[in-house]
Amino acid sequence: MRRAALQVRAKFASSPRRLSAAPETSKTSETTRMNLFSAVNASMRSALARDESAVVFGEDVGFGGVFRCTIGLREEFGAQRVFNTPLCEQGIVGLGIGYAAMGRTAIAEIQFADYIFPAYDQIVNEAAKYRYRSGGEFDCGGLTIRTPCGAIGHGGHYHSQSPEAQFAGVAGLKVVMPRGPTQAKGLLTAAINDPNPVIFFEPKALYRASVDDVPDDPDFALPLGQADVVRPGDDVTVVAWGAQVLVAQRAAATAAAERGVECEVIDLQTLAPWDAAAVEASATKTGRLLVTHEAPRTLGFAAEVCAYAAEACFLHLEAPPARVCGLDTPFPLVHEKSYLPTEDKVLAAIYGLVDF
Amino acid sequence: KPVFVELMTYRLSSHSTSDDASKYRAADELAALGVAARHPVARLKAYLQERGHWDDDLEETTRGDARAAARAALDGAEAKARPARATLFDDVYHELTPELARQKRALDAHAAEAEA
Repeated sequence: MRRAALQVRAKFASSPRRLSAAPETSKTSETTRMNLFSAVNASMRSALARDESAVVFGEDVGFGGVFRCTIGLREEFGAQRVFNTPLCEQGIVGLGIGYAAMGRTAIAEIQFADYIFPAYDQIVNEAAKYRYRSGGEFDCGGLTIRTPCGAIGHGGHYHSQSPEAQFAGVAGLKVVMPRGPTQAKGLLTAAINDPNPVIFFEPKALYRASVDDVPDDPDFALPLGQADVVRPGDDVTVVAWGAQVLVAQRAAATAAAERGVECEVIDLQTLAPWDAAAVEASATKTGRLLVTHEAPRTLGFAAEVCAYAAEACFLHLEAPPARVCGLDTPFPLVHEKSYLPTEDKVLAAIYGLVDF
Repeated sequence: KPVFVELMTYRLSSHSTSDDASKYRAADELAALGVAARHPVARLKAYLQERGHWDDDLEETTRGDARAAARAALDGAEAKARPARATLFDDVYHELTPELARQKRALDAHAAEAEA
C-alpha cells in the first residue's frame, strides 16, 4: 500500500517546485512603486512563471478578483492555471490540499477571511495534520491559502473579521500577515515556497491605501518566522501585525512628540511560528510590553504573546503586559471606531505602562 | 413515487451595487439564454392578463404604490438615529457576561476621558 501510494505521488510530482524557506536576498536594487494588491499580484505572477505546477484558484479570480489581486494572471498563464471555483470554501481548500498532496503548488483564495469557516475542518483536520499523521510520508506543503481580512470601515459582521488566532494555534499551519506591499510580496513568495501549508492574511484596508517601493526581483522573499523592528525605542515595546502596525506607529509618534516616550514597534509578520526571541529581547530591554490587534481580546493572539512575556521576561517587567484589542462582540457595522483598537486607545495604554 | 425537481435559474442583475457584471459577463449571454422570454414575472403577468385579472392601468397604479412604499421605508430607515454606543454589547448573549460588562465600562470610561 505504502509503495503504491509513493509511486502514484512520484508519478505526478513535478520537478522540485519549492525552495525551503530562504533568507531575503535581492538580486538587484531596482524597485517599483506599487500598492499592496499589485505586490500580491507580482508575487503570484512570479510563482506561476517559476513553477509550472503552480495554479491559482478561488471565487472570481479569473477576471482579476474582487480586490484585483489576480488581475492579468489568467490572460498570461491561461485558464488551466488560473481558474474560478464554485462558491464552496470547503471545496476550494479541499482541492488545494489534494493538489498539494501530489507535490504541486496550490495558491487558493478565500474571498474574505469571514468565509473561511466552511473550510475550517479541511484546514485543521486535513491540511494541518497531513504530514504528522503520515509520519512525513505525505504532506500538503505546497498549499498556500490567501485571504483578505480586517476592518474596512463598513464591512460589518462578515467582511471585517481577523481570524488569525483561530489558525495560529493549530499545529502544522503557518500563519502570516504583511503590513505593506514590500512585506506582502516578500512574505507571500516565502509562503508559497515554504514546505508547509500557509494561511496568508491580507489586510484589505491596505490593498489600495498602502503604497511602497517594492523590489522588482521576482524571487524577492522575506523570511517567515521573523519579526521586524519597524521603529526602535527604549521605553515601551509595542507589538502588532497587519494594518495595526500603522496604528501602532502613529501612536508611537504621538507618544514621542507629546511626552518623549520612545516606543519600539515590532511587526510580528508571522504569527505561527512567531518570533518570540525578538519580543523577549525587546521587552527585556524596555520592561514594558503592549500587544495590539483588531481581533477580539479574549484568546486573540496578544494573549499568547503576553503569556510568553510574563514567563520569559517577568523579572525585567516594570508593568503587567497590556493588550489593546477589538471588543468581544461580533464585528459591528455601526460604531466601528468604538469597537476597534484605535490610535487613542493604544496611546492611552502606552502611557498607562509608563505611568504604572 | 419520489420526484426530483431541478430548478434552472439565472442571475439577471449584477451581484450587488458594487459589482459590474459586464466586466465578466458577455452582453449577449442574456439574449442567448432566452431569459427575457422565460422571465417568471413576465410570464405571470401574461397569465393574469389572459384571464382578465390584470391590465396596464392596474400595472401603473401598483408599480407606483410599490415604489412609494419602498421609498417611504428607505427614507424612514435612513432617518433613524444611530443606535447608542451602549448597544454594541447587546445581544451577544442572552445576558451580559462579566467580561463584556468590564469591556463596556472600559469603553465608557475611555469615551468619557476623550470628551473631557
